[in-house]
Amino acid sequence: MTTFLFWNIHNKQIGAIIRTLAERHKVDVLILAECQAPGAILAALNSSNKALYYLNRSQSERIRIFTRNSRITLAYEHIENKFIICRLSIPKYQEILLVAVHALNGLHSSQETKKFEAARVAQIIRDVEARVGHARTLLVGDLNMNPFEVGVYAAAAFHSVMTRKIALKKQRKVQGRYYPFFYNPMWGLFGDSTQGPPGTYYGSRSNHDELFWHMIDQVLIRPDLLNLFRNEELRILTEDGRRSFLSRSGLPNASIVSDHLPVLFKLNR
Amino acid sequence: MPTKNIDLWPKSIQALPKELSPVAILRQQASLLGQKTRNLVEGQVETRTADFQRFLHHSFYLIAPALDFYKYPLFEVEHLATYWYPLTITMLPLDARTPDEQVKKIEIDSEEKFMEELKNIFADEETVGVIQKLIAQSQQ
Repeated sequence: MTTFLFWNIHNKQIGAIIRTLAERHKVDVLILAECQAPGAILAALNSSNKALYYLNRSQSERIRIFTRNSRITLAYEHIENKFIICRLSIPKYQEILLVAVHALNGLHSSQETKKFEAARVAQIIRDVEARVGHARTLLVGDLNMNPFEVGVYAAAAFHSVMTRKIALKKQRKVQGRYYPFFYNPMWGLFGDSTQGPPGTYYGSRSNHDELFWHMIDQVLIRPDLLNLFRNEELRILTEDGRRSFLSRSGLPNASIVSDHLPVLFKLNR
Repeated sequence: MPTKNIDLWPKSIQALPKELSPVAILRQQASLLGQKTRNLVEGQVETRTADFQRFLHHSFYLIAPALDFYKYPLFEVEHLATYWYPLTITMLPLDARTPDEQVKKIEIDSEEKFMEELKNIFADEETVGVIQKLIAQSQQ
């Protein structure tokens, strides 16, 4: 079993909290966005003798990847400041293509901007998949878009759908071209009838169209990896066992931790 | 007409020498450094050929992942590609302006002396100081 944790930490010095999370959940691959002091995080992660994390080389200052095992290795296939694509080698697993994303657009960019940018990135992902010869692809990160926004679900964009059944069809034809699906399990975590929080980010602008809770931190999985993924192992975390990441009113506590909540998930062999 | 495959190689070529090669010793020490500094400073060994493939040239670097993977060249080792000893250790000057003639070269003729000299290099005040400064900056 390999455990992944993604968190946009909003440039907060929360190494001790991250260490607690990493130890508690035995995180193997830790992906952080808005992490200005990766050294402090590395020092905190390795301050106990329980595990030895490695900070992986990345040309993106927005995305930092730490791995718990020296045998988990990354080979970069595409690097931009806002997203990276790498081949992730984990012992006893087939190679995985990991796409880590941070804020492709501003949260309040126009739908057109989000759509075109998502389509551009999605095309690069398809190109890399063609080059490496497989589509065992996992996309994780802060997309600054909700699952129901066109940049996330449109065929030429991320093309992520809300059910496994549809995703397992692998691809569909639109205007004569085939587009591969992603499965987007975040749909199942929306709202207040789930065990976890209603989303990963809270906004309260004085706008008619304010949604309040947003699911902008997401995990998208290609059908070829779906046999390794279980929905019940995907969680939005609200505490590390010692302290809550939520304020008294139940919203992400940006003054202490981050305005985003961390997302935890696993891949099973 | 099919040709018959004839194997003229002796079986003994598959038997590996019991001694550790210089590069294996260097890699081992590079790996240990990461464990001792909790991965704030890692060792890295890069190997290339030199003198028209006659020599193997290993460079030992200190890497600080948290400082944008800052790379500090500590020393170099060179030996004939097919003989491990004698080998030459070249201490790289801390100050890049140091003239070439002041670069220290140490001749080593055995594994035992190689290990002893590596121990001296790692314990050297300058080496320890560099590692400590890299750790301190990584944590800030």
